Amino acid sequence: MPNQLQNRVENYVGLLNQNIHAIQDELNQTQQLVESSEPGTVHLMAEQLMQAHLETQWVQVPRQYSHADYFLIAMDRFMQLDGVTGYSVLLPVEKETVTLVMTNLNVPAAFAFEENKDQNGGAYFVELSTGERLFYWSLERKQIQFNARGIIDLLVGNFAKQHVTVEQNQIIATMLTEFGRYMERVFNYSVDFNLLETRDDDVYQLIQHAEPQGMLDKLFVLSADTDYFLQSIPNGAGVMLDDNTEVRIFFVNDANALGAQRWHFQVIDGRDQYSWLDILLKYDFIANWYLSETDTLEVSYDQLVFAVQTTQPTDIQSIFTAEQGTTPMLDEEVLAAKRAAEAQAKEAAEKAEREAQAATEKAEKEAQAAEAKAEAEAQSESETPEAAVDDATVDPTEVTSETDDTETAVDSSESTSADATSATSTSGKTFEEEIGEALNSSNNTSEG
Amino acid sequence: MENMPYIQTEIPDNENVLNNKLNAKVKYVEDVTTALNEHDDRRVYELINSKKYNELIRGVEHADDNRSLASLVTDLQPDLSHHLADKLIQYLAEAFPFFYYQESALGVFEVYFGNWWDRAYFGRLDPINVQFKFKQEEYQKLVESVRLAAKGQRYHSAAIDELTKTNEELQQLVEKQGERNTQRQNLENQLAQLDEKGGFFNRPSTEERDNLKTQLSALDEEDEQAETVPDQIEKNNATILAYSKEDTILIYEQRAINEKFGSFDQFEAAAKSLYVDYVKQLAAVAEGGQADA
Repeated sequence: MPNQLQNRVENYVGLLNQNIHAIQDELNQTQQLVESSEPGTVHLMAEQLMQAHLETQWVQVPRQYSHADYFLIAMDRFMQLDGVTGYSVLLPVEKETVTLVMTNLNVPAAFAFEENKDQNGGAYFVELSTGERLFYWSLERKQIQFNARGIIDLLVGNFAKQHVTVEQNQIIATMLTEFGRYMERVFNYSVDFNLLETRDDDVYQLIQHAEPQGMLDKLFVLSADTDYFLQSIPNGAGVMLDDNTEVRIFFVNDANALGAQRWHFQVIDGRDQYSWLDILLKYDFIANWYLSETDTLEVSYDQLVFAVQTTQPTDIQSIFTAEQGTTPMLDEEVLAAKRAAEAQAKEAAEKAEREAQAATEKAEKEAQAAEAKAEAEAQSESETPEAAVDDATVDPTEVTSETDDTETAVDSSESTSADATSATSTSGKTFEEEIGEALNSSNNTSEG
Repeated sequence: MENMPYIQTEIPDNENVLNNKLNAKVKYVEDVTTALNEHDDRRVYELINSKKYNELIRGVEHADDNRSLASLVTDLQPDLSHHLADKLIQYLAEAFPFFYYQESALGVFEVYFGNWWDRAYFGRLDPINVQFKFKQEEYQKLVESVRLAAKGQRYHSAAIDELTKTNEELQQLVEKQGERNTQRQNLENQLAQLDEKGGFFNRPSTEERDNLKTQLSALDEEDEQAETVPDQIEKNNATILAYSKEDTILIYEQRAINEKFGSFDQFEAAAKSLYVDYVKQLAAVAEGGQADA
C-alpha cells in the first residue's frame, strides 16, 4: 500500500503532466498551422485550435495567441499559399497578437479578427480604427460572408475621401476577393461575395429600405459633369463607362417587393472583370450617388450576420508604435517586476551588511572594553557575524551591476517591498489556520 | 309668231377634255404607283407636290401647283408617310444623329431628342413635307438655353439659386427655434410681471402688454412656419432636382447640336432646308444610280 505522501506527489505530477500534454498538443497544432504547406492541414489545425482553450490550472502559459489571432494566422497562411500580396502582418515582440496592415496605404488602418462569441462561432474581419466589419468567417461551416455596407463605408466612404487612391483601395478589394475565391476553390466554401462579385451575368441583389424618389434623375444630373451619360433601358437606366463597361440599374416587377418593384444593379464588361465595388471606387459620381441613396437601397449582405455593423473602434496608434520583431520578448511589466525583485534582494543584502557591520563594530568595542575578560569566548562571538557578512554580500554585488541605474527601478522596488511585507504579515496571521486546514483536508482524504 | 322654234340648247361635246382629264388622273395614279414600286422617292415627292418640287429643286419661279391631282392620294397620306419615312429616317440618322423616332400611329412619327435618360419629346417628323414640326415649348427652351449658355448660365440657374436660398432661409428658421424659445420665455416672464403690478399702472401696462402680445404672436407665426419646413424643403428639393434634370437635358441637347453642326444657328438652317437637302440628295443618288447602270 503506497503511503499518502507518494499518492500526493503522484497526483501532483499527474496534474502537471495533464496540463503539459494539453499544452504540447496545442503547440503541435500551432506549429503545423504555421509550417504545413498542405492547405487541408492548415485548415484542420485552425479548426482544432478554435476548439482549444488553454486554461490550464497547474502549468500556466501566460502568453498565448487568441482564437482571433489564429484566424488571422490561418488567413495569412491561405493567402500565402494563394500568392496574395500587398499586405503584411505586424508582430509586436512584447505580446502574442497579430494585426494585418496594407503595405501601401497612406492612411492609418489595421485589420484583425474579432471572435464571434455567440453559439454561431466564427469571427469578423475588422478594421480596428473604424470598427468596420468587412467579412464573417466560419471555419466550421466553411462559410465566408462579405459585408457590402462595411466594405463600402470603409473603402468608398472613408478611405477614398481621405485621398486613398483607386489603386490602393483595389489592392484591399483584391485581397478580400482572392481570399474568398481561394477558400471557395480549395475548400468548397460557400462565399457570399455580394459587392465583390465580378460575373457579368450576376445581378446584384439589393436591400430596399424605401421606395426610390427621383433616384435615376439624381444619377443623371450627377453624370452631367462627367464624360458619361445615363441612357434609358427597359425599366431603368444604363450608363456606358470606360473599358466597354456598362452599368445597369433597373427593376423587375415583383408583387412582394417594396413598391412592387425589385431593383437590381448589373455590371457588364464582357470579361467578368469588374465588380460593383470597382465601379464605386473608379467613378466618383456613381459612388456619391450610391452613398446618397443608401437610405433607399443598398447592395445586400446577410442582415442577420451583420445585424451589428461595427465593432467598437480602437486607437491603433500603439499597434504601430510597438516594437516589432520575430523574437518574443518579455514586456516591460514583467521586466520591471523582475528588476524590483532584484532591487529588493539588493536592499535586503545591504541591510544585512549594515547590521553585520554594526554588530562587528559593537563586538569590537565590547572586545576592547572587556579585553582582559574572557578572551577566548569573545573571539568566538566576533567570528560568527563576519562569516555572515561574507555570505550575504555574494548575491547583492551581482545584482547591483544590473539594477542600480534607473529611478523607476528604485520606485518599483519600494512599492514591491511594501507589498512583500504586507503579504508576509497576512500569511503570518493565517499560517496556523492554513496548517490546520491542510491537516484537516489530508485527514479527510485518508478517512475517505 | 307661229312655229317659232325654240332655240335648242347645244351642249358642246367635252368628251375629249374629259378623257384627257381622266387620263391625266389615271396617268398620275399610275405614275405614283410606279414611283412607289420602284422606290423612287424623289419622283413621289415631285408627284405629290410639283409646285414645291419645281420651285425648290428645279428653281422654277411661280411654278403651277398640282393640288387637284395630288388630292387623289390625299386619303393615302398615312400610308405614304409611312413609306417615305423609311428612307428619310435613314438619311436623318446621319444628318441629325441625335434625333430618335417612334411611329405612334401609321405614318405619325414622334421625334425624341437624344438617347439619354428621360430625353425630351421634341415634336413630330412630317415625311410627306420632309420637315420637322418641333414642339414649340421644347424648342423655345432650347433657344433660350443657348442664349443663356453664351452668358455661362443654365436655363434654370436663377430658379435653382432662388430655391436654394429659400431652403437656407427655411433651415435657419428651424435652427433658430432655440432662440425663439428663449425669447418666448422672456416675453412670458415680462407679461407675468406686468400682471403682478397691473393694478397700479393700468394704462401704460396695457400698451406694454399689447406690445408683448404682438411679439408673442409673431413668434407663434414663425414657430408654425418652422413646423412646415421639412415638407417645404423636401418639395423644393424635388423641384430643384426636376430643374437640374431639365438643365442637364438642355446641356446634352446643345452639346449634341454643337458636335454635329458647330452652332445652333447652323442647326436651325439645316432643319429649315431639310426638304431641299434631302430631295436633292435623292436626285443625286438616282443620277448616280443611272450613271452606274
